[in-house]
Amino acid sequence: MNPVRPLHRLLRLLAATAEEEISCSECFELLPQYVELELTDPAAAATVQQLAQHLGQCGVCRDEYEVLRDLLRADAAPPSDLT
Amino acid sequence: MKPRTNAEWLRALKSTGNDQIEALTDLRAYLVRAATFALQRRGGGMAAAHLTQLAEDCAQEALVAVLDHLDDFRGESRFTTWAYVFAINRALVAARRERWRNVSLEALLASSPAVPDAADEAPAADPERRVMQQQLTVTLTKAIDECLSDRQRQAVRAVVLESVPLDELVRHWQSNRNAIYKLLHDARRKLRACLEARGYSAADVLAVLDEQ
Repeated sequence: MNPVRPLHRLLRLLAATAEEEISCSECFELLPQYVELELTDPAAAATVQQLAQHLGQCGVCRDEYEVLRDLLRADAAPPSDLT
Repeated sequence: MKPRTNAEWLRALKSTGNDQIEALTDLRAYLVRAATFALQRRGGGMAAAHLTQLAEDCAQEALVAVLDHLDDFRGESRFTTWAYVFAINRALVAARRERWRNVSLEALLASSPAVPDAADEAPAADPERRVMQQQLTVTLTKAIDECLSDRQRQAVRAVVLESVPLDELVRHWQSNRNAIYKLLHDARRKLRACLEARGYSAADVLAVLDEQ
């Protein structure tokens, strides 16, 4: 998402709005298993639609998801690659 | 650090004596690592000594939270992955707080920034499409003004148009993430319905903006 185009951002959020969306707390609870699944079986993770939809709408939860994903990748990397 | 299964983590953390102390020490090290990692990536280049101290503080907060929520752990992920989320959450909240410390949300929320003109954001070469973009901006501005409550309007303007982190609005309004997310969700649903009532589906709108 381009931060310099706020109107685009709003319209994309509107286009992706669902009638029912999970809360940030539900996202927080689901995130660990979602990221582990995504790293081992991306196709299976893609089926967790509600969480993916929430991550598309919520910047703070998306940040947490991205950092957790990158951290687990770093944990799985050889020691010399750890930063 | 001693490798442990999920069951071993829970057993050790709920025990007493050396097993518990060892598990707490190891867990704290995992949390410091997660908080440090988060601040390195989202800390906006803060000084190393400050980052280290902040990571320690966030890890300590996360440790308390993890211990408070041990009974909520359902074993659907590795225990350390589950615990990491607490540390990452504390670290990112702290990093945002530092980044937005000098911004007055009071002033920002009172300023009612205008909706950017679609024709300025992605000007179409075709004059007819430029007119459509301008009409869209007017329609969306009206929808924001007429369809949303004051609170919804402020939240949309701040979080979506001004990129204020949701956590900062939570802090400013002394609320919580779930409540502000719900406010924004309700606002999005209303705006979408308002646009549809005026003849714009969300997909149509994106097409007007993106098709050059």
